[in-house]
Amino acid sequence: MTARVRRRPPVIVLVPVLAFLTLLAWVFASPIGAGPDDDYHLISTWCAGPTADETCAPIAEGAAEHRISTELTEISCFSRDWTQSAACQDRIFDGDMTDDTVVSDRGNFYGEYPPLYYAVMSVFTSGDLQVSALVMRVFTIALFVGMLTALYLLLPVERRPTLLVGWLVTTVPLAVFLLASNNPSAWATIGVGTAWIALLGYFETTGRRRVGLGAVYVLGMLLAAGSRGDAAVYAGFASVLVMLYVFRPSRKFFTAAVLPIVMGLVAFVFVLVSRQAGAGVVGFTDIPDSVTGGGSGTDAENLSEFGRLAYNVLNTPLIWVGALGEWGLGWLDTAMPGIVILPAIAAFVMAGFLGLGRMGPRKAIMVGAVVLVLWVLPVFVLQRGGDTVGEMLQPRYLLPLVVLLGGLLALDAPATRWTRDQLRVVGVALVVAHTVALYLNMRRYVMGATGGGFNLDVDPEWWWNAPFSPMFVWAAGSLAYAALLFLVMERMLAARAPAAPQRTPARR
Amino acid sequence: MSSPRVLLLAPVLLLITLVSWALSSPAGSSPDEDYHLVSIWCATGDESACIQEEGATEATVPGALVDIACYAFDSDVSARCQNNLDMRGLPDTVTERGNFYGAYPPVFHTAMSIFVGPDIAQSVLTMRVMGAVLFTALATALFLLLPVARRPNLVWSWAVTTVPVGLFVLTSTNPSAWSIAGIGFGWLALAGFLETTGARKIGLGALFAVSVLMATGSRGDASLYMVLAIVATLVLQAHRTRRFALDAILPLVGIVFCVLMFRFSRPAEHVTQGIEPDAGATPVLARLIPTIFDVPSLWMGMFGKGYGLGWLDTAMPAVVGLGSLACFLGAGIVALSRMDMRKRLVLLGGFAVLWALPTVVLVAAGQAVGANMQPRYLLPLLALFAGVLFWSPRGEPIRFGRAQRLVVIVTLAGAQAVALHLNLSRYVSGFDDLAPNLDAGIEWWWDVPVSPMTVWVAGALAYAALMALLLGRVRTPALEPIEVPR
Repeated sequence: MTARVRRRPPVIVLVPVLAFLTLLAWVFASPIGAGPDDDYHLISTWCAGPTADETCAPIAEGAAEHRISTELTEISCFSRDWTQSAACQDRIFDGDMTDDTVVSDRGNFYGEYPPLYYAVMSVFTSGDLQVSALVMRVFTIALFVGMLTALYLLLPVERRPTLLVGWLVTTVPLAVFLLASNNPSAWATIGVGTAWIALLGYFETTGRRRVGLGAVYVLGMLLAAGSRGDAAVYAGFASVLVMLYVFRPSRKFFTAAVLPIVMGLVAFVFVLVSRQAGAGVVGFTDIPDSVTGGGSGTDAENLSEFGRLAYNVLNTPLIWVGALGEWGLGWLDTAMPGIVILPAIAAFVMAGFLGLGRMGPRKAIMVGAVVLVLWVLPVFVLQRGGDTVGEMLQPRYLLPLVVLLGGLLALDAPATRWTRDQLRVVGVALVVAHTVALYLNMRRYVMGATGGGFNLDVDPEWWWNAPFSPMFVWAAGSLAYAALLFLVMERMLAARAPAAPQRTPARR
Repeated sequence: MSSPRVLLLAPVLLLITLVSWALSSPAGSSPDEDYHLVSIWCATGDESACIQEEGATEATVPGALVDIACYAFDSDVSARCQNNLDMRGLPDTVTERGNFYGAYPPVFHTAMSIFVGPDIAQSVLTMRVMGAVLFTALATALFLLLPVARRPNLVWSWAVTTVPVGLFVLTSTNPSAWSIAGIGFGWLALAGFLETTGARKIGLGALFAVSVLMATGSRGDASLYMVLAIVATLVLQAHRTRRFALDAILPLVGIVFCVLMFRFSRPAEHVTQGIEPDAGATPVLARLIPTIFDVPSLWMGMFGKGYGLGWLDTAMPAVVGLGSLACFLGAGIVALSRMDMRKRLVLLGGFAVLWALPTVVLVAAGQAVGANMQPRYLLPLLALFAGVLFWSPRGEPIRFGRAQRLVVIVTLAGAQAVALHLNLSRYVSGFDDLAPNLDAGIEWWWDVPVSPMTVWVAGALAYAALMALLLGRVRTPALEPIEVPR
């Protein structure tokens, strides 16, 4: 036994480190306020924190208007115009968050969002906006990598490829950007994307593993429900699907089911607390015309009632691939070129299609249900608001469901025997998409999307006050991600190699 | 592919689908079709169709030909404006827009000129239907002549690359139709020729010859693509035997023929594909990287994503472009399960060409992706790439699961139905009056006894049945292994 253990390359322990380094590069790849509506979210965070008295005081007891530091309200000064670098932030940061204030009600003052995300993040607020916000970003990615590592170790061995494949093919480029941002969508995505598989493992294991997986599930549910009202619904939906998947009319099942039922109720309470779910999955960002994709074409304004319904039904997939680069990053102002969009779509479709090779009835129900929700929900929201695809409803709201779908399709992943060529194609596609996406994202803030040469270190208009340069961050992040994928691919090939037929009961 | 007898239905279903597409748009609907129709009319040598001095770079043609695409570029407007054209008029309008400088090889235009009659619309419809018949005949002949184990190669590679742009172009009076068909069929006919004997071999050799003629006779660049196709096939099938050395005479003659045909037409024009250099553009190196980054958008355009049908004005919704693209990607990754070094080499080479060719053309012309170069120029290369992708080195079947087949069949059938409906809508009533029933507000239609809605229903059902028939589960016992003499 020991011989087998020793033969396994220990380099796999590098994977969490590489994942953290990749995300850390993304933390530094965009200025504070670069996430969509991040001014709103940062204000909400500061207003929940210890410095709220100076940086965010209500103008009157119980009023929604607050006297808010302009460092917060103007933080996203570069947004919506991708030719403008983040240099405009220089005039905002003067080291004192209290000297300039403006009266505003743009913050979580009407209870649109559940309070948990802001409450936790507010722990890190201080008088130094940039440092505090960076710490928040690092906290989120550490949480994410920590949860994935825990899942990898705790899940039954045959569920590990599902975890890895599901996350890898759904994270480039939108999710990596959001995970390393100050946006609650990060938690929503992490929460939904981890909770379902943790719950699955919880039902399939015993003893300490089960306790651990139950804990990860609870944490995932809290992250999802505590950050966005719609994510609470998604997480509850995912829990129901998993319970259907593992359902057995046995006493053991019903006893175990108490946990998801309780957490479902908790999520429901969060939905009731936040108004946003009631208002539909709609944010505040105006969507610039340039980034809503070219698939539509027709003048959506002229459409008849039937035309609008048909348009929305037939174009909803455009929102899904928005998570894969079809819509821009940031405030939807950082457009991605074909070299990012196509490989990202290809990786998802290829992995998903190989996943379809193994399809039992229960998996089919789960996948079908998620696809149905991904289709019906946007159409419903858009029709009710009199909107068309491209307006109002953004890909990031559906991102948790896309991550969920990627994972569900990869169920039975160890039985799906990837060949080396197939793995290489998907792996190379992801590395190319990620490398270019990181570069273009940084370029947009460092020198504006249309200015300057290739080398981001030459005359950067904006950069951190830090001892490392933009090109260093890009190179480090790109290499870390490439190495990560290489290790995971080698791992998957090693796992399906000759040792596979040995049916040792999986380490549970 | 259930039983052989049901398979007899496949050519009929294919023909119904193609004829539905032929009917789905008015004369002049494919890009630059006014140019090609003038060229066809002037290839007749008939003074009642086209009056042209020997060697002149202008000609007098019926005015309706010049204005045939009066509806182009505005998809809210139906093709009603064609009702104002005199479709039976005599030559009365002088034009320079035609194949008068030798920009295109003359074979396609000359062949189509056989069907020129007194009525322009009826003539165009006849040409399209004959094009559909020719495609169906070639596909059927190839299917029957190929070794059984190679048939899925033919079926899958065409199925996942033709919705919606391929179907539109193949049934148009645009020379690109013959480029795509010639290259897509030609390489496989050659591959089959190299591994069969007797009557089959002769038949496949003849199919290859026809394919080469179609490709080289339609577009100058297709001659180059055909050379690539022949080389790719030789890489896949070459072995050191006397038999192969003899067999190789045919493809080598093919290559020589392609080169001659390419020289025959004007190379310079074809390398830039008619794209005019843009003076005052940014330096070459500064354009290189953005172009490289954007070329994959062109590839997605081949599946209808981001680029419309017709004069690029008939936008396809995401469900068509992404659905079709997803079928290609999904089925393609499964097809990678059958791999050897030769296939890997050809695919890598093909991928490099698909990337480098548009990059070079666009950078040389100083233009950005999306400006002038259209995805359809690359469709012949896609047909070849997809063909090799579904190539199985030793003829072992590429195994698809039941859910995989079902998803591809349903997605393709759905995407095709949506695309056909929208294409009909755009010309029959215009997108401004989009409605489920195409017969409700007809503003333009052919002089034929079937209604637009009938055409749509027939095309949608025929294609769905065709996909179910061809891509459904194969009963394997009939497969005979390929004997590869290596």
